[in-house]
Amino acid sequence: MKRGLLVLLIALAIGLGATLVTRHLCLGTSTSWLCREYALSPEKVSRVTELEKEYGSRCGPYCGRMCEANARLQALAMEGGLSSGSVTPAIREAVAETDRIRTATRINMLEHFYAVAAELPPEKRKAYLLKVLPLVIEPCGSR
Amino acid sequence: MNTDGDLSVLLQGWQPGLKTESGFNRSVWSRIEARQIKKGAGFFSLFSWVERLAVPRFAAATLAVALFGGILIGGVEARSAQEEHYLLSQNPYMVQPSGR
Repeated sequence: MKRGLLVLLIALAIGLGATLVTRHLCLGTSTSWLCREYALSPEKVSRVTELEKEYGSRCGPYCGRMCEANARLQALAMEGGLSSGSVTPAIREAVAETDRIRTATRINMLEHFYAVAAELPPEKRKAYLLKVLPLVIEPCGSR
Repeated sequence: MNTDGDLSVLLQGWQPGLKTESGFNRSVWSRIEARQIKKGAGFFSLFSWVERLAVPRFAAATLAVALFGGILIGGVEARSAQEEHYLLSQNPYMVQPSGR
């Protein structure tokens, strides 16, 4: 019984170790997944890598702007909203500002996704868009 | 009068004269086995298969299955993690300039 238990424990350790090592070895960059999943040629890979870099530098600043707009909205909602007991024009403007940033971000995302899809084989473009579109189109409950 | 000696001789020469049915021995052994199984049907008997792992060929097979199973699960895990990683990298509020 003891020997069997030892074998079982060793097997579990080997299984766990193999899982972790394989997972670690197979994890590459996010772009490498895209390239393998959609079987891209080396030249397409470099093009997609370029697109990803450009997207990162273009969209990164939106994060900062969105954080600022959110912080402003929160401050106004807590201070001005509580004292006046209603949605003040300043709060309305702050909400609209966050929406403007979000809209610009979503348009940027869509442009990037179309650019990436254009580099994929035609028969795989739809599948790619179906994967990434939920990032742009927020789900609305059960519908 | 040697009563004990006579008795011994008598017993040695005694034949019961009973004929056992065919399969008698088998049925006796199967009843013994059934009783032993019933006796060991507790919580620990659930793990009686662990004992078999001590047999070298079962042990080798178990280790091989664990190794290949681990590689398979790791591969599938990595694939889904990469997809998730890619989708996260496309979220502008999480994008890093490196694009990774």
